[in-house]
Amino acid sequence: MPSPAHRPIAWILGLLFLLSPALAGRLQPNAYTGGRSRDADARAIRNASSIGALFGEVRTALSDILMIKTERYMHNGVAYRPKPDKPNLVTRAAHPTTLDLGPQPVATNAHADDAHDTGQPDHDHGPACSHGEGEDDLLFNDEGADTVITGADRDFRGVIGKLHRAVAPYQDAGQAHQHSAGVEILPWFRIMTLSDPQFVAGYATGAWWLRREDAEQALAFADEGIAGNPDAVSIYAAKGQVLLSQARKCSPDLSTPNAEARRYLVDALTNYQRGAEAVERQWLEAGAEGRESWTSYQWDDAMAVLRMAAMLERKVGDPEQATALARSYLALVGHDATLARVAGLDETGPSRSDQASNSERRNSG
Amino acid sequence: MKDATKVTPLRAGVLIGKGVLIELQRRKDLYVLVFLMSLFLVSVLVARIIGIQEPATATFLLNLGMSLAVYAAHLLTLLLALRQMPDEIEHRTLYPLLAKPVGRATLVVAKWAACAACGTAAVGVLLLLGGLPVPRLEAYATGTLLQTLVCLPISLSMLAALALCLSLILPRGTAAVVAGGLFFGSGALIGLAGRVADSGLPGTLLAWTALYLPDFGKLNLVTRYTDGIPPLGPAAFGGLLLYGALCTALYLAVAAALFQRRSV
Repeated sequence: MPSPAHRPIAWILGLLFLLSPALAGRLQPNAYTGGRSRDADARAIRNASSIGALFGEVRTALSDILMIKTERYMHNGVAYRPKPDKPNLVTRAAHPTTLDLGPQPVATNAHADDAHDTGQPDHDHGPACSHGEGEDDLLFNDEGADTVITGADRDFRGVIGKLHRAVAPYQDAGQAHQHSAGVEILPWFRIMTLSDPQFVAGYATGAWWLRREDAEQALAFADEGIAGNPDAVSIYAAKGQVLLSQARKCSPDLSTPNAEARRYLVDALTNYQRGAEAVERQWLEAGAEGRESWTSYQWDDAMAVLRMAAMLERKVGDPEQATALARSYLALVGHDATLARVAGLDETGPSRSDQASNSERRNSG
Repeated sequence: MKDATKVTPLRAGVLIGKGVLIELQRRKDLYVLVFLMSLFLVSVLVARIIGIQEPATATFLLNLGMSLAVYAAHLLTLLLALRQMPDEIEHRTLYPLLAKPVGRATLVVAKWAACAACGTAAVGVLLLLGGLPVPRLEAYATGTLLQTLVCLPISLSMLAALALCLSLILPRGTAAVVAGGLFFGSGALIGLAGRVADSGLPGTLLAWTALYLPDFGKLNLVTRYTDGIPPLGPAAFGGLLLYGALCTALYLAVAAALFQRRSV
């Protein structure tokens, strides 16, 4: 026991300690929105820089390292040169130019969606199979991707290189590669988003993969991401994909959706509307100059959300409102064939995202 | 005539502090950390020669350098503070000190102050090595930098007090693991408890209890600075300082109480 002279001090300190969580809970000096460390573009630049190359597999954020982990699991241990700085690959496969009004899939996939949705594990992807728009493209673009372990044709290490390829998981980049079913990677998305609630790619990609196991959990996961990142367009896009997928499961022919499918479509509409609001905000905040630095993925996400909001409004909402929405989006983005079609305008020429992709290719050329 | 044997608490503290400093110099921990930071300095200089084109890369290097300096200084302080009391007891150098007479509480506070001061000096040196050579290609808030520099000694003091307290309860190795774990992991544990706890009473209690863990991350504003975020408002900053001071006072009080009761 403290001495009598020190007892008051001891009591005061004890009381303050008991009440300290009330102070500690309110102190959040590192809970701020934005910030360069959380910016997807800055992350991509860091990872692509010579410093990033120097660090090799070490990425500048733990969440990126965990994203690489998911890629390893998906490729059964074979290490491809990852590009975790692609903030959202979900909408690559769902780059909508037409809404699913019939038995055709929304995404114009060269690789059929059914091979994945039937849950076939460890299936082969032949070399003729295009991954340019396929759903396996969703985690990262492995079309023509190089392996981390150097191939035999370019390896100067001789016997050491041969031994390395024999001992470590390796497959020649030109051969057909395999994807695992994807169940094993799900916990990693949980961990990466728990450790970094602002890791948008984790929520977007994780929700897409989770939908195969439990769509309701996938939606809840996406909602959690939206709650922490209300301006993350890619998460809206991913959630929309999950809802559309569920709608298609309930009613394969969405030209005449049943009641349950319609409920999913209405939820998707609400989701895309929120996403469209975020797109409009970011579009105006960025300005023409800011949008010049948008990556092609940001363009894809933004255009996908705007198009889906307009198309679904026409499908399950008010057609006149859909026309007005499409026209307002067109006024925002300039020109887009899909939005023009919804707006009832006759417009030809490349879409905004095509223009963005061309611009990026020219700049990197 | 002055009584040469009488030692005022202040003088005792200064002498004890000198002893801690001499021990730090002898142990060479600081030199190892300076060497490691020098390696980082060399890599930054190489990067500058090659050319750092992107501001994002420069900001990353700045954050990396400053973070390394902060963690290294905390590690140094932790190891220094953990050794103080056990070494004095083991080597039996404690008895002459206590016979001076130097009060037990005075000894604990003096050790703590010396460890905190050494850590503060170390973080200053390491920040110069880790932060100064990196080019500033983006805008950063000076106010946030000042707040960062103010919070660092508070954090070091808190860690020194915690380490002293744990060294009196646990064996040295265990104390090191626990203190290190709390320094690096308590923030994540608190966040996890807050996120996984449901809204019911058990969840609330879990989240509340987790907040008793010392969260050193709150006093580390390096990322806030490199993110270009403006400084904290007076209330928030004052709250941080109060939090650090409260935790430090508490750990010191417990350490002093433990040492008072300990038979040596």
